[in-house]
Amino acid sequence: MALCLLILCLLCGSGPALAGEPAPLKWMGPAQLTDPGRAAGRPALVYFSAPWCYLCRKMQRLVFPDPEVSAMMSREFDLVMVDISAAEKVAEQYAIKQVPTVIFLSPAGKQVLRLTGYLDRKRLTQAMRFVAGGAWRTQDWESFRSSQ
Amino acid sequence: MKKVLGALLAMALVMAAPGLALATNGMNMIGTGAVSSGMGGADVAVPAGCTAIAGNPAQLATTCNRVVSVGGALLNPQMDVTMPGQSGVDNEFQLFPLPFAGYAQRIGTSRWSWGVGIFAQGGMGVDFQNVKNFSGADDSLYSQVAFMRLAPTVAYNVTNHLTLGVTAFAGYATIDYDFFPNGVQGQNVTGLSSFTIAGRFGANYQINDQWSVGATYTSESSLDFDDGEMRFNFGPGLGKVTYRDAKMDNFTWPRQVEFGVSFRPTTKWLLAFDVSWVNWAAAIQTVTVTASNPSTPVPAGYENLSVPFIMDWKDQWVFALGAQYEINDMWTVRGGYNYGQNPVPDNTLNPLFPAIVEHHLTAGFTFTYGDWDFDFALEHAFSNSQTNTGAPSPTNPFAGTEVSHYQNTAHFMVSWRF
Repeated sequence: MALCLLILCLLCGSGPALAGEPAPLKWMGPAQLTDPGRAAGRPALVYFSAPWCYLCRKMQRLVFPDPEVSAMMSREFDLVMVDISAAEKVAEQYAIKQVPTVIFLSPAGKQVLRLTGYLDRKRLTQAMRFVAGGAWRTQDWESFRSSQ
Repeated sequence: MKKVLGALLAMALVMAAPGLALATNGMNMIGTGAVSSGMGGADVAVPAGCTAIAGNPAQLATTCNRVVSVGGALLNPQMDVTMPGQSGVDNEFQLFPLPFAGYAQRIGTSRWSWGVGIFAQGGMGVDFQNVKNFSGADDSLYSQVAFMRLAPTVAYNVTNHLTLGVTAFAGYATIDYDFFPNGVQGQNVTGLSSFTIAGRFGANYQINDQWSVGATYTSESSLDFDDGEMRFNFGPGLGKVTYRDAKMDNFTWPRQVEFGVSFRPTTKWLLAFDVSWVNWAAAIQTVTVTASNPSTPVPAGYENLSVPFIMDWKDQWVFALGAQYEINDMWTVRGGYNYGQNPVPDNTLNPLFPAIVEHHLTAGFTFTYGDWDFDFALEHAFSNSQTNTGAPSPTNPFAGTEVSHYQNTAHFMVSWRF
């Protein structure tokens, strides 16, 4: 009986596995990148993806929903998602050569860190600490990583 | 060009030598690569990276940048043959390496991806030593069918949901066999080889974040084996005579149609189901070996030999069910079940060309470290037995013979994304 319920839960795509997930992240569109109001705010985490990108979907499935990761993302950053297939000019402007790519921008809009490829929880969390904690002002990324 | 491709494939065959025995869905592997094999071969609607070159070419479009994969499998078949009035004889110990190597990349951030790979499509073979021939003397039954494919592939994201892919297969196959070479009219055939081309078209439709469906169509590969040599045993007196030109006709790798569906019930689970139809009935009927140009004078009527193997295989349905669970960023585990109907009819069973196992259970995992994936899978094909129920005749020399077979295969692969 329990097995039947488990299978039913799995097939319905609902149940305990999904019920515990954090609230979805509030992503903004690429227009936010040119919003002058953002400069007075927080740093931005700009996530470049594409609908065909398997590793992007994997990050969206496994990394972003992680409670610790998503809490830090929401708390510390303006979150901007750019679908490069729909915003080709933005992708060009930021010289995106592959997805997934994550670019961190300072509140003034300066690019402080660019990471490409699949980012696991550990690496993304490190990167967010590097930017949100201001370490980027005094250290480069590799030195910061090796000091962690 | 043909020679270059042939040389490349021949090199791969040497790596895979001495053969690709009993590759279990008929003569096809149940899956290529440790990911597909770990899921019982259910891969048509599952993201695949490099191994899409050997699976659904549309899945190549899941490549985000560049990836190179190298791996293979080690296959250990266990067989025995029991001829009427004799006790059973076990197959000699065999451990066959089946290589895979592939490269895939997305072209910039465009909707195009391409890749190229080389892999073992399948094959079969046996090695029974000290089996009694029709005269009751110790003899051997040996066969080796090996088929490698070089496969350039392209995939295109037509829309955000629909992806198409196409693969051109350049194939190279070899066959050797011993049919009671120490008995009268026994044969030892070596060096038969054939170059062939075929193609596969694949599609994948991502319905939503949970559901995906896919399909493939693979054209048949006509194999015209030649450049072989046959040693034919005339018995006392003339003994064994070498025929310098041996050929094999009417051996075809079949066309195939596959449908698959995958379902992601939660963020970490992935379930997949494939059904395939393999057109063996059109591919393997009566395979004829002919030999000519004997090295010494032979009795009248024996200048040209023709040896028919009446096989009349049946079309095959294959069902594959797989599950994958992503434990965390580093570990993913898989399990699968594969059932492929035995395509060999009871009345034409030939112990030289058995392909009779039906049920397979698989398990595997991926360990991810940064941009590296280390994949591993184990596959067990459960024992199946079959007896030739046909009437004894010159074209059915194995009437009453029973063959049993099971096998274990270990798959491994390393992938690097860059």
